[in-house]
Amino acid sequence: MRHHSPINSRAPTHRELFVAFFTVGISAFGGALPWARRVVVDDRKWLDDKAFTEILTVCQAIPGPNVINTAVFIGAKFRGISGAVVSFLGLLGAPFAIVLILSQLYHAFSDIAAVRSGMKGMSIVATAYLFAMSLKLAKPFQRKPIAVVLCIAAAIASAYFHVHMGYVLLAGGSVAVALSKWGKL
Amino acid sequence: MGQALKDSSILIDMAMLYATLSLLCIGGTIPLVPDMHRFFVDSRGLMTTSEFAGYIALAQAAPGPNILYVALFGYHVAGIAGAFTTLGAISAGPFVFAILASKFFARLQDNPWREIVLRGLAPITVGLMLAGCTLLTGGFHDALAWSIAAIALASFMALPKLHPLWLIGAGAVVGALLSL
Repeated sequence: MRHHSPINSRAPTHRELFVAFFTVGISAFGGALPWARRVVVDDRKWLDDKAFTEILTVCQAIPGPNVINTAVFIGAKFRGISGAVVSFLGLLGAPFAIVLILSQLYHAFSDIAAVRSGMKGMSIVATAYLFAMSLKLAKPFQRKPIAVVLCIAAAIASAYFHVHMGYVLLAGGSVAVALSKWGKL
Repeated sequence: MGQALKDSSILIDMAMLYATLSLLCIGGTIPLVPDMHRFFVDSRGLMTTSEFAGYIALAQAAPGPNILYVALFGYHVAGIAGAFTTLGAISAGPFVFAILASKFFARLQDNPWREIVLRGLAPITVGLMLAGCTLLTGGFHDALAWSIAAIALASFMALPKLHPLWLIGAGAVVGALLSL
C-alpha cells in the first residue's frame, strides 16, 4: 500500500531536477524506470503515482528510449527546455562516464584469460536475460494466435532474412495496427 | 588526412544510424539490436558478435540506463568522439519529441490511437527483440556456452523476483572459473 502524502506545490528548481535524475542514474541497476518513480514520486513527491503513470504511458508511445523521454518530459514540465537539459544531463552524465571507464578497464585487463572468459559468461547470462524479458512481454499473446504469428514473422524476417527494422515495422506494423484497430489484437 | 577523413565518415555513418533508429525506437532499444548488429558486425566488421554482446552485458551490469551500450559501441569504434556521437544521435530526436509531448500532453493522452498503435506494435517489437537475442547467440561457440545460457534462462523464468544483476554477476564468476 503506497501512502499518498500531499504533493509538493512548488515546482522543483533546476538544481533539484539535476540532483534527482543524477540519483536515478547512479542508483539504477538493470532498469532505470522503477528508480525514476521512486525518486520523483515517493521521495520528492513532485508527482503522484497516477500522474507519473500517465506521463510514462505517453513517453512509451513517443519514439526514443523510455527513461530518457521520461526524464526530459518531467524536466520540461517543471522548468521548460532548460529543465529538460539538466534532467537529461543529470540522468546520463555519471553513468556515461562510468560505462566508459569500465570498458577501458576491461580492455586494460583483457590479456588475462579469466577476465575475458568472465566477460563472456556475463554476456551469455545477459543474453538469456533479454530472452527471458522478451518471453515475459510475449506472455499476453498466448490467447491471441494472430499476435504470435506476427511476432514470429517479425523475428524471422529480422534474424534470418536480415530485413531492416524500418521495413519490418512498416509492413508488420501497419498490418498489426490495422488488426488492432479492428479489435483483433 | 586520409585517416581523419575515414574517422569523420564513420562518425557520420554512426550518427545517421542512430538518428534513424531513434525514430523507430518504440518499446525499448532492444528491438533495435538486429539493425545495430548488422551495422557493427555484419556489414562493417567493426567488432565481433562476442564483443557486441559483451558491451550490452557491461551496460546492464553498470549503473544507469541500459541503453548506454550504444555509447560503448561508439567508443569501441571511434573513442570518446564515437561515444558522444552515438549517444547524442539516439537522444536528440527523442529529446525534442519528449519536450513536445510535455506541451501537448492533454491531446496525446486523450488520443485513442495511442493505445491502438501500442497494442498493435507489441508483437512486432517483441519479435524484433527475439531476433536480437538470436543474433547474440552467434557468440556462443560451444556446448558449454549454450548450457550456461539454458541454466540462466531457466533461472530467470523460475525466479522473476530475483534482481537480474545477481545472475549476471554469477555468469561472470562461472565464466572466469570455467575459462569459456
